Amino acid sequence: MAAADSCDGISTSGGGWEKTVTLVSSDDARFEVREAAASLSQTVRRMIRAGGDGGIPLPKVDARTLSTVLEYCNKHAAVPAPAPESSSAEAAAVDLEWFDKELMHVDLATLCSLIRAADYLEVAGLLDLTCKTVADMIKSKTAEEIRQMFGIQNDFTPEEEEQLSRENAGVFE
Amino acid sequence: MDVKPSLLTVSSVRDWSELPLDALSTIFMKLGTIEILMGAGLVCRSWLAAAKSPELWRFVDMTGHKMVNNMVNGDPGILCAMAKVAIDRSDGQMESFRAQLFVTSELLDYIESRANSLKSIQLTNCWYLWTQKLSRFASKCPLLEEIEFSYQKMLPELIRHLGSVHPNLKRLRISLPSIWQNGVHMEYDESWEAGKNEEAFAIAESLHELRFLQMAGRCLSNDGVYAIIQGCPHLECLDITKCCHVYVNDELRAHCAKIKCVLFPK
Repeated sequence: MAAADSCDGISTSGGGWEKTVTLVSSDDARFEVREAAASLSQTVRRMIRAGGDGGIPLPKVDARTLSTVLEYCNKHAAVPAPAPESSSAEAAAVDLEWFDKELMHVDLATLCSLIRAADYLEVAGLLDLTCKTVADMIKSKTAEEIRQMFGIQNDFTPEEEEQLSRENAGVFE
Repeated sequence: MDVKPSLLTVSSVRDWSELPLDALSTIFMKLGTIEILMGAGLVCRSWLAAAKSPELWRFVDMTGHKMVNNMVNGDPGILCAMAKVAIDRSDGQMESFRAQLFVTSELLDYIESRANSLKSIQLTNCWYLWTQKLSRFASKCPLLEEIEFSYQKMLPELIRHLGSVHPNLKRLRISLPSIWQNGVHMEYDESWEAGKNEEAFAIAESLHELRFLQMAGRCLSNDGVYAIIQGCPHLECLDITKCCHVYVNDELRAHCAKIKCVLFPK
């Protein structure tokens, strides 16, 4: 996805006339996106409705993260022109699944940024996808293993650990 | 996914413990009850706070975890303690409880006194429970729409009792492993002949609102199936796989034609 300088306008991508909007990342990169794709974000959808000039500012998302989010939105938003090879709905679903899997091949810091962005932008599908990725990673892991994996500090005081142990009747290890 | 510690920057260290609550809830929703209680929910303060959200404990599923599977002949104590933590955290909002093997009468008492929203209870292979206890439990949970007491002795009286306290019960699962059936009835004499459809007749007499009935491996014959179809006119799904006294013929298929989904014995 290349950063574009234009404001809201019309593009001819996909063989037809489509309305586009411009999103502006926290580091001032501008992205021109089909409105149908951008509207997968409930946050952006509300801002489009509210109107305004000079693009939609997204101060909590940097350009690198936003470009991945938009990659997701472009793929998942209904494409008006029929896809060339995948005529059946089933093939399209397999294609999307494959795309999602590939998109999640990222390092942990990027994954964390994507979760925050999906939460802030309210892209439900992407939030679900990223959270599923994390859930699969921490399944059947102990608290200590999870801390090590994500570099999280154990911030419980010894007193709190003792209390947890009491509350959880021996569950806490 | 590969985990490379070298990729962890100082900011990501902060980030993972400060994920938004919504995101943490979404992650935890995808984990099993035991996984949250023993792992993810104990990572740090913010993750513990997320793990205490009552919303997370509306559907408690304690099946399929290796701790449960390894419990055969073991001590149910820790698993019962975990179930109680789950029930406490649900803050009265638990709608569904699913477990196998470890459930005791004492745990059922705990559930019935705290889970006022319970709509579904699914218990499999819980040999610590007597039918009397199940019967009393069912009376104490007014909202139940779905009951599973599988791998459990199921007396016709218990079925009639369920019908009297929950006449609007929608889903019933009372499957048996097929191995039981062969062991229980070694001799096919007259008394067996007279009693073989008792459960089926009890269902037909008392649970007229059933939509879903799973009784794989139970003792019943074609007459029992016909009685069920007549007594439960809204039935949409019937599982009679492994019922070795049901003979699949044209007459049986004709009787079952109006049910959307029937799983016949092979």
